[in-house]
Amino acid sequence: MARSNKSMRREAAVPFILKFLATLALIMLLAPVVVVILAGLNAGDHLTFPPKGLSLRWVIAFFQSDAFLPAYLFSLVLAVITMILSTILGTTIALFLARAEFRGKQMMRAFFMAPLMLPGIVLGLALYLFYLSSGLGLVRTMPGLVIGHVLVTCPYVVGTVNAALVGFDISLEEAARSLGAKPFKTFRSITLPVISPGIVAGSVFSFIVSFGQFDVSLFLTPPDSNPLPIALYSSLRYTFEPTAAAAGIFAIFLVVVSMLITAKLTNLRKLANVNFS
Amino acid sequence: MANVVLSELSKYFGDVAAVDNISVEIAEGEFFSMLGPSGCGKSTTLRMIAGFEETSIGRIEVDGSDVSQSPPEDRGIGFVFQNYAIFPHMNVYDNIAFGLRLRKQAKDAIDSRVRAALDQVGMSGFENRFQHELSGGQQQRVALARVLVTEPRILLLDEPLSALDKNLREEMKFWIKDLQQTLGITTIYVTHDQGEALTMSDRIAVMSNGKVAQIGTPEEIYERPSTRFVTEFIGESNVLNARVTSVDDATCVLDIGGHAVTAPLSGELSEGDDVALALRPERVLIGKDAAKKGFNRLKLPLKKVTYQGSFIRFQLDLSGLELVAEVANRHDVPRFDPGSEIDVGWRVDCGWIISE
Repeated sequence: MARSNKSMRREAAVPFILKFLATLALIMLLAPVVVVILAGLNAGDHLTFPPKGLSLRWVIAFFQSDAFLPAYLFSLVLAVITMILSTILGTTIALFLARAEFRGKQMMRAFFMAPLMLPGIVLGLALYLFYLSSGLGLVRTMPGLVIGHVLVTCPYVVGTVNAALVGFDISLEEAARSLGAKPFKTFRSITLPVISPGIVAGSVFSFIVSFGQFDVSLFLTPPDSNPLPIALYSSLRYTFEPTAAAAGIFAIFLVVVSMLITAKLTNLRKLANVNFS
Repeated sequence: MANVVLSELSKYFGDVAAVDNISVEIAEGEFFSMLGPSGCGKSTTLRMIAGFEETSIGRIEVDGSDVSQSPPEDRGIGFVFQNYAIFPHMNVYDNIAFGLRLRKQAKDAIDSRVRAALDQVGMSGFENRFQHELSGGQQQRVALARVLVTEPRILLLDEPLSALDKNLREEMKFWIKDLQQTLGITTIYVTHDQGEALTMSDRIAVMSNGKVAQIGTPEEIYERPSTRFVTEFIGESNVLNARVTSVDDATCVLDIGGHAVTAPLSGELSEGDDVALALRPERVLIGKDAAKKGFNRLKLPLKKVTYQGSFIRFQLDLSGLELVAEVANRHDVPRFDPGSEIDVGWRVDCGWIISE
């Protein structure tokens, strides 16, 4: 009871204008999601909003589609591979940037964060031209596409893990060492669990960003298989059918599920306590 | 249990010597404090003993073998941090079991030792709590249990009380000292609080600018600080500039602003030397207490009287210098008004000479 009273009082202290703006922003962010879901449940023949009655016919069509379902599954596999690689790579980079002392560290940090600043279309084109001219055999192949996705998603992991490391109390490691733990054991049993909320947050980001990635994929996608965003785009260019919106429903579903998993795995209150101690 | 020898130990950060050529021997079972203001090198010294900082020059010997090149995990040293460093993702039980599990002990043995350690620090029943569910004092106890359960050769404590509030600090001071005496473990304690050092230590090293200014028992440090720095850092003191006017076998006569004062002789002094006389305020007596044989007796104008509860503070004018007397607030404490001339005195051997 005491806790809920306290949080209510804190809420009351927020000025009305901030609450209003926050609500407005929330509506603007959620509106397209609602539109996609309703459009996907449309009973009519065309992609229209508001829908002409509700039905599951386009959802069923999505499952029977030979364009969208494979694209959905391909995106899923691609996002999982990207997530795993980005998490390992990004965590390693963040640890290196946080712990190593060397000249040009700031420049190196900026370098690793650069893909966030570059327009994806530029990055995709650059990679495409690089694959073409280097003759590494990566042009429009799965490995080439994965490299592109890792490049785009890795900065998210570097950013979140770096934030976790900034709040990390180094004396935890020293305590473990003097209790008898070797450096690797210390990393595994102390450092890694304590910064894990940052790692999990970063990997979920990279999953979501990879799943929705369009501009980099545009240049690097293998000819025989399309990720979902590309498949949606090419389909909507010619036909205006609600199957695309139904596919959108499943994409949204996937993102929501991954967010819920993160919330479950990451005890945010615990992370906050680490930083306060 | 072990003895510790630091020989010619130095630590440089760039060109700056954080620790400057320290040599100290700490006996088995001793409670040894390093006391000094922040930046004096006491924490750096402690961290070098633990192996968290590399030594620049010198040796650290534990039981006769040099450990200065060993990693922290091989030194068998227990370290309690200022912020306790309780692992936030483990409960109290797992925190304490951490060191034992590394030593690959049987589960039953670990369990009984963890429970014994919890009992020892009075934290039984807290096994399943996490760091954020513990108060500062409780974290302190867990941190100690976590270290002691591994039976370290030496216990290092880095300002362990500074994060606690005043009442708890007083209580923990005696509790830690008792625990240390029960275990008989060699302990090195770092603090900037002279009260902690004086209460708990067998010996104290007062440090300043990376060097040891003085080593001694609490009594030696308080009663006979050897330098102006130590005198002013430990407790409150009157430090009066003086000139030597004559030197005897065991005493000398000083001139302090026109007043002749006798002081015990220390070191090589000759007529005309500029020195300083140090004197604890509680050793300066006033009124009829001051008029005794073997006392320096002066008549000085009273500038200010301050009531401070358990004692009363008299500020006197000694030819422009200030002399402070603190008198215990007993029923018969003499009452004087500011402005009046009063008798002031102290036994000759209560003062000591600090050469500049």
